[in-house]
Amino acid sequence: MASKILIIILGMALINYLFRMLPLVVLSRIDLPEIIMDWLHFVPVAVLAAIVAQGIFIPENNIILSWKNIYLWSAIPCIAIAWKTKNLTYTLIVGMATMALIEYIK
Amino acid sequence: MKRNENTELILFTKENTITEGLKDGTPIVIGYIPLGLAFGVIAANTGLTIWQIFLMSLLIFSGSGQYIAVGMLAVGAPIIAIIITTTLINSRYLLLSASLAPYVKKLPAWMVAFLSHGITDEVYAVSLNHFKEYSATGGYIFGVALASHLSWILSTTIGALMGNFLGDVKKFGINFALTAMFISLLVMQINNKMTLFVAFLGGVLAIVIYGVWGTKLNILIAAIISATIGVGVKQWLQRS
Repeated sequence: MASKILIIILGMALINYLFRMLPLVVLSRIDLPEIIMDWLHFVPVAVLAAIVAQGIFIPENNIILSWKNIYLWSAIPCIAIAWKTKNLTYTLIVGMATMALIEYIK
Repeated sequence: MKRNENTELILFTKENTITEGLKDGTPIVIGYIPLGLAFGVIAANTGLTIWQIFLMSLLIFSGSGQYIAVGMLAVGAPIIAIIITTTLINSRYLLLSASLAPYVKKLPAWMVAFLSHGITDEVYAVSLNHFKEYSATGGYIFGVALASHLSWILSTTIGALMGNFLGDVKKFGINFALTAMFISLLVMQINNKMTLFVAFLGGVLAIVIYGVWGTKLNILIAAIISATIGVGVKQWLQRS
């Protein structure tokens, strides 16, 4: 088992690293056409939205599309504060406090 | 120092020191704690040693990948299956990396190659947010990545050591920390109708794709499709 685990760790490490390193190094050394640059500028908001949607509606590998979704309840004040203050720390505190409160009430 | 096209190799500027990076990395540090602790407990239960868990967190530094790998090990999956599955899950790093590339043009290749090891979803999102206003520096990225990586290594290792003494961390609302952070970063990226539209698309698609195909590639696919539609609409609007 030990050598199996070691092989998996090294294999994953290598692939992960190549995925992170190659585009970052290669694409930053060449001039990309404008349409590609435009596309890349949409990637962060698209990825973040997908991650947030998953975090709220697919919290533990199951889709929860109901008003009983506690992640949704925590997300609402969180989004409001994020929009208003644009401050990471406040948003984090509000989000965690709301979730803690909901867990306590449950 | 604001963004300036003519600046050369920038290691440190006032807003871009390692300290700034460490500071901005604090929400990530907090978010990784419950995730890391939980992973440590699960991995130890699966039979991994502290050393193996430490090595995983040090060399791989991927929550999603590590969780999946351990899950598959627990059911005796073959090496090749584990490697292929985690490769697919982490393929989104190609996308993240590509979209970060334009910002690190002025940094030397060796520095970028070194820093890229620490690019996780969270490090990426925080860095990108910072680069909207400030030029990218090696120091800043290093700070964010270092804080995050240390938190991950420590919490996974401690989780493995402490096992089930920890009880339920949910009562501190920590299980929402990462999502809260991503919400903040998402909101900061939305500044006009186009970005709002793409965000909406990305979110909906991520859920729909998962609902229909149950694939863990949903985030990657949703992001690619919505970014593409975004560019398409933008081009169409520019022409008309």
